[in-house]
Amino acid sequence: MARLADPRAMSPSRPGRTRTAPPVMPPLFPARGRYRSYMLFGACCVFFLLSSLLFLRVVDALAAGPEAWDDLLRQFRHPLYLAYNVAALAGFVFTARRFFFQLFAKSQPPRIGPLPRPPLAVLPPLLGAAWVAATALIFCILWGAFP
Amino acid sequence: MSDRQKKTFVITRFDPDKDEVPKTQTYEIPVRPDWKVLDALNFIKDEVDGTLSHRWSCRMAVCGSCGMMVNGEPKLTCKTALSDYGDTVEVGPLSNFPVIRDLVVELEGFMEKFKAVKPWILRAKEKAPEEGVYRQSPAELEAFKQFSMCINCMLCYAACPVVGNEPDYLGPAAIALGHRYNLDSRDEGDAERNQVFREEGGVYSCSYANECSEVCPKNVDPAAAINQAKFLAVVDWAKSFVSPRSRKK
Amino acid sequence: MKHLIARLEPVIWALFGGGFFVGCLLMPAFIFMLCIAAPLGWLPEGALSYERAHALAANPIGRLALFVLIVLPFWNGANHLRHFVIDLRGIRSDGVVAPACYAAALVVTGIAAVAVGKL
Repeated sequence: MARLADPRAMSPSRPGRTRTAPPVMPPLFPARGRYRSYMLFGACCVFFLLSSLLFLRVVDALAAGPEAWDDLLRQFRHPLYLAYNVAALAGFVFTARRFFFQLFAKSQPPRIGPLPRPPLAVLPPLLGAAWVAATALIFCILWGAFP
Repeated sequence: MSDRQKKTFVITRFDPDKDEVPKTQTYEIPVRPDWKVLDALNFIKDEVDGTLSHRWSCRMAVCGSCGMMVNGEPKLTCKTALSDYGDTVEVGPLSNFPVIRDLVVELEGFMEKFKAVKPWILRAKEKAPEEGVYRQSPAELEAFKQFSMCINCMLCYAACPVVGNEPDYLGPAAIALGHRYNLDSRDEGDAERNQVFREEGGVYSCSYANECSEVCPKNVDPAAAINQAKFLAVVDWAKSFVSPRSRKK
Repeated sequence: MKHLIARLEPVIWALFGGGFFVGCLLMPAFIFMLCIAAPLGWLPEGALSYERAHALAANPIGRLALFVLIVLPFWNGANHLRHFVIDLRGIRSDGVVAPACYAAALVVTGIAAVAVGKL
């Protein structure tokens, strides 16, 4: 039996004439069927929160000086940090796949003020290209090739 | 009877006069290869157990009455072939809805949500009949046509986790219909509807599970409508700072 | 509080969407280079030495990029966590979870502004 939904879900503001059985959640929710990948997508918010804080630490170390910076890079070598960062990388790629290729394009209104939307079919490849370009740029900068 | 194969149907039953909670009842019936789930339910009702209650009408996926959970997924039973399922088929009432009896759910809550988005053409001032009709180009029609194909079957409500968790949420079909009028070139009510969309239980309750669009039998894509509405409600909200307009209710 | 959050939903959603965009577009590359490749010594000598890293980060574009890279994904995570909790537990704890998530995001925004300013 599926979990009970909120008892007020889809009920009228004034109760009807007969007694009703309480609403239940969709039986496959949350861990089966397509709901599973939706819930994984939701769980990836942890990576957004933690990686954001990790970058705050990076900025803090850069502000504190060379020793703090070297110390931070040394800490990042710890297997726990590495394991987290590999998992986070996978999480961001998973999120990006769903966001860029399943959700983003159709969320754009047909027009915003005077601006018409580009054809829906070009948006996912455009986003893919933007991702490759941004990644390549960041790789070049952090590799030391540029600027 | 030679072309008939036996299938077992596990059907949720609930009698408000007798049952504390819904229970299941099993029927084994002979089915034809070309039957839909609805045909089997009608067979049970007519030949086996006249007390079974379910809603149906057109049998051609137009009226939107026969939505039920089939093996855990919301389906129009008139459009769902039995041949796609194994020997046992589970049929239950739409999830996320209070159940009146057996497979029949309470619709009033849905109707209230529908009315809240004012799904009709709103004009600041109506044209007099002698001034002629409101003209619309094919491109202007195309902008909203997809969102006007909804048959109010409520499968999207049964699939959406937010509908079950947040009782105030307007839900997929209602928002898609409101958005359809906001996109209609003849309509002038977008400020009013956007205000409803921005309220608690409005578009921002949606967490984009996309299930509404997955289960929609008419390819309305309510998830697209809801998320476009979020976007436009942000634009509208930002514009209200630049050019505050009268906040009509 | 509930009413205030409902009124701010458009802003929160805009930050949430921005967070998806920035997080998905830029985070994988930054995480790979900064948090995996650099500590493992896969980068050329001096590419992320303190002097070079500080010079990259402290110029106006670098500061802006880092600020955006911290703040927007955090707002995204905060809003997403709120909805994830609703999915798991229903609306009953939202009165506590929503303010907590957004308050944390506000605090991180403030800290990030100070940290980026100190570079």
